[in-house]
Amino acid sequence: MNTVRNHDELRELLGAFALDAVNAEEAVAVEGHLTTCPRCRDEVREHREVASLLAYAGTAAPEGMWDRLAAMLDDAPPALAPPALGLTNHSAAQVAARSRGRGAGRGRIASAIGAAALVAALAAGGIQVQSALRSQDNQIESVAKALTQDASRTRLLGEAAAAALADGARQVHLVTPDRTPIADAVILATGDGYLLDKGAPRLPEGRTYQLWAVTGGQKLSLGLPGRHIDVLTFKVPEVTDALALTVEQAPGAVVPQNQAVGYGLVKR
Amino acid sequence: MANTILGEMGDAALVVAIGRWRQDALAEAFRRHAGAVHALARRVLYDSAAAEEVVQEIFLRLWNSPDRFDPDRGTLRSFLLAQTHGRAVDILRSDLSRKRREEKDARSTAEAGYDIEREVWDLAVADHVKDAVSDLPVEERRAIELAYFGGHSYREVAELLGAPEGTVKSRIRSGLRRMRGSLTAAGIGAP
Repeated sequence: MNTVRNHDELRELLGAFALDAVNAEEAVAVEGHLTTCPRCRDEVREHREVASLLAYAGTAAPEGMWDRLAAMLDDAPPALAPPALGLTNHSAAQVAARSRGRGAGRGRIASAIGAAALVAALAAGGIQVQSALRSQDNQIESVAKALTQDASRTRLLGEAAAAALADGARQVHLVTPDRTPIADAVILATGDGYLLDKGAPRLPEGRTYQLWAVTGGQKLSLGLPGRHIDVLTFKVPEVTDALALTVEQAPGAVVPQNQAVGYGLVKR
Repeated sequence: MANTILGEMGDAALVVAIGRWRQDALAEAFRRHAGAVHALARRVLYDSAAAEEVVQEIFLRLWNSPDRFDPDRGTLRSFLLAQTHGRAVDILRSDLSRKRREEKDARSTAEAGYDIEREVWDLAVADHVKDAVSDLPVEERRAIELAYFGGHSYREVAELLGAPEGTVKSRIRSGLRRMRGSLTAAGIGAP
């Protein structure tokens, strides 16, 4: 098997790479190159856009397919089991995304950070990696994710402490119906916020805390701390009247199914 | 939030909503893109049941890991279709008997001269896409078809077409660039 070495050789592979027509070694080499070469990254993006036009058949998905998919979401979302630290994969991903994407503009969905970035990008890019290599990637990803979560937690705690002192920061004290503190939140002027535990009990298996923004009578899900509130980042809508915390069936609810166990007004 | 608002959301905002566990946002993404995802999976796999499994997997991935979509790296459709293609080819390559069958089909296709236009028959921009495809030199068109719809590596394409690997690699790239040029000139495609 030839080893791809220089930029020109890598560029020649970009078309085949975009169509998943390279082998695993080449795919890894190209993907690594793309992390440092915006020009080649743009070219791959363009190739994939062209391919997406070829792929389109103009037909809707067969009837009933959404219903079957929706049933799977209700019954067993496969990757949502709460890992260590009480963060779901979902909120951990958001933590990772935000720790890198903060300041990069609202609405941007960044890739995962650090060692996880390349592994995630390999999967996300739809590139063709052979089964054995993909299995290794998954193992690496698990380890990288655990390390990333640990580092993220430490960083987040530091960020949350700094946020409390920032100009324009708003403190929200969430209390139970009998006025017992359950969690504290800090919301920055940007709308980025941090939720920190204040003695909330650990939940049994199959349950999760869920944080909501209450805005104009509507409740918008902000994130899922998991069975235990440790530290969670979130972003609130511009107009948020209050934060509410509920306990829901894992992996979480689209709309609140239960009364709030914690509630705190957000001062304007 | 009402569905009408979701319907007006851009892809990036839609994926943010998916990240906030908005099942209706996932439904909107499904409404927009599942037809294309399914069509591509079925075209590569020649198997409706397997194609549906791919559709489910792709949208479950989006539900579980929406952060993997980076709007700076292309549209949501392009992202989903790239994932779909990668997964479909994965399945194809892990199934040797299917692969052999596909190779046989692809070989006869290559010999007969494949009409890629059939794959883009019902799109608002289909005429332009057809033009862009039909303007391609036949060697480039065949190389792209065998790689993309046939799920073959460029080395396999080289073998099927009896052409050097380096030549096929270049044909795929130059064909894609040529099509992009045509489509951009026609006002189609991402800027």
